[in-house]
Amino acid sequence: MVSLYETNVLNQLEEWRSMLLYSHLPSALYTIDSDKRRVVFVGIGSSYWAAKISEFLWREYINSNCISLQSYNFVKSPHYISPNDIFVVFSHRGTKTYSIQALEVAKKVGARTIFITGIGSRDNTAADIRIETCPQENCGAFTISLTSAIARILQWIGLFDNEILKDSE
Amino acid sequence: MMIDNIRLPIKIQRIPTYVTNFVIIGDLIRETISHEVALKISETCYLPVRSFGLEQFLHGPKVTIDKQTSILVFTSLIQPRRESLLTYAKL
Repeated sequence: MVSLYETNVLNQLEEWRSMLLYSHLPSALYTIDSDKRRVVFVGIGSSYWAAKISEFLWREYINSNCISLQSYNFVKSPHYISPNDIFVVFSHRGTKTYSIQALEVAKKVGARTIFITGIGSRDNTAADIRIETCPQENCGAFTISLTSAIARILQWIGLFDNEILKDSE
Repeated sequence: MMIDNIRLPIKIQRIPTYVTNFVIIGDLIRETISHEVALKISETCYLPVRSFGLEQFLHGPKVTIDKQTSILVFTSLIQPRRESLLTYAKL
């Protein structure tokens, strides 16, 4: 018997492909000069690992002016944030209290806020830009949401070639 | 980027025999992978798993491994500290 967890892992390829080919990133994303500003990636749990991986990728391919933070730490301990920052929050369900609070803090400071979340997640944030990944997870151990969020970051960075994806169908 | 499949490129010959001492280690971006894999194993198998950055592990927690320990390492052939870890683990 194949568990939901295994099914989700095996479905990742199809999910990434349809997301990258048929669901474009919001055009507003391309109006930010993201290569010239500091980018702060924030999350908790698996979303924190998404933030961490994004930080590595950003540093490798865009610029080294970026950090990743765990949302609880960000909210509970003073961190420097400027209106010139791009503040990226990962939350698949959109229900994580500290991640949402972190986003609100950044918004108040005047940073450009981006919310990377699952399709159908709660629309309870005032993020400037919302980027959707995959449908809501049906298993307690999240997998596809994490990798889909990373795929979105790769897409933003410009590391996906849609023609190749089409060819591999 | 061509994605052909997500199956392991190798066949795992032996199932790890760990009971409670399973350590997952990664370097650089792979440290994050090690933490996430440890989280998934904990969540799905209800097993205690520890995860570390490679250099962090070599700076102290390495003393907690013994012959019963299973170690899974995410690293690269070009990372010099990989050899230090493997040498220590084999002793």
